Amino acid sequence: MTRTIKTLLPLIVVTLSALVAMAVVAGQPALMPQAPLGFTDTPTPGLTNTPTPEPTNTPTPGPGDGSPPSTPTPTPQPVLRDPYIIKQVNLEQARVGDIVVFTIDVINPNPVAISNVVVGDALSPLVDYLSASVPRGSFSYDASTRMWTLNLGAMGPEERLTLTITTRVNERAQPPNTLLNTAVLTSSLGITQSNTTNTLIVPGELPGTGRR
Amino acid sequence: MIAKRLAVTFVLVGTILFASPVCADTHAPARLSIPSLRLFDVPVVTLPIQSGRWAEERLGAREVGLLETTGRWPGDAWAMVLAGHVTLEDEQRGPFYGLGSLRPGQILLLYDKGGQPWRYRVVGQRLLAADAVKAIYRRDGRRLLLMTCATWDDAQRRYTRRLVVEAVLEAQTDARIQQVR
Repeated sequence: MTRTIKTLLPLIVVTLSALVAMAVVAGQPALMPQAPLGFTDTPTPGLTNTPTPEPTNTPTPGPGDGSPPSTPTPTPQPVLRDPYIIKQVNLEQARVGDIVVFTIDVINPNPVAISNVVVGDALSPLVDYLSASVPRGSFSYDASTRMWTLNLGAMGPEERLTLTITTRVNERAQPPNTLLNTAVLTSSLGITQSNTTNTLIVPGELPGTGRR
Repeated sequence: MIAKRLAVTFVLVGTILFASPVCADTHAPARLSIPSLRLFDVPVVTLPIQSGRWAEERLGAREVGLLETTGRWPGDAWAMVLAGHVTLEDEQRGPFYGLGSLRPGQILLLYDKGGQPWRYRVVGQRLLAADAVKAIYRRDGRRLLLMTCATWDDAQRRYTRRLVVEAVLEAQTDARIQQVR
């Protein structure tokens, strides 16, 4: 038995060497370990026939590459805060016919840009829309819904924008009504509501306290 | 010791629960006295806004009106404004007939519904146009404005301006505002 093995051993070695040589020449990983069942077969860079992405310095760890998975270095993510939207009004008291100007400040407090920024303002039925002034972006006013909308797109890091909406108090605003107004900001970070401005509608004339 | 703590707790809870209603009910103005005009205990009524204007027809020869939407009590967020007639039909004098003679330093006494006096000192006066409505809204609850008609226009048969006397709370009553608040 031992003699037989001794006789065949060179033949086995030669055969195996030939197989390995053929595999290397053909580019086939003839003796590569197979992926265990149930795992996705991740192509190993540089050892396949199919055109694959060029090998990189940091190969993607996979179950089939034979190396222990490397721990990814955590990249610090900035904590993103909601953008600010602050609303002001030029009059604390107003009469029918007065011009009321709303000023809206939009601030991105983050060190990164935010996207899909839209400012919406549902105007009170007590005022008529006249005009608006915006630093950039496109705005529209829908008279049927009384919704004024500004599409700003993206806002840069720590960018601050100021816009104004000019209105006139109409006949529906009978004293002592109060004109309330709130703006809403939507962005990739969600929805933010502004403070509510408050304008008291007052009579057009002081009381007449003298008769003759 | 326990009894003392309980007492303090009751006082604090009571203050929190009842502070605001007390302001509205007991510190609303009820009577006005202006000794230098020999005007004493003039009733203060509320002058509501109806059909877009202050209902001045509610005022007669005796009372003055606290304008709705101005301050409601001493120390409120806004100054209170009291309006009264200068004259009425048949050459009758209104409660504020002599308002223009008030000078800085003279004293007004406003009694609230709880009977407590609030002492004001006149600081000045001015004339306003009849439509200068926003000028009477002062964001200072320590102020009291007294208003009446001024500048009779024979051609128009009406007063064209308003006389406003401004007064400010005296120090000793000003301290009570902290309790009211």
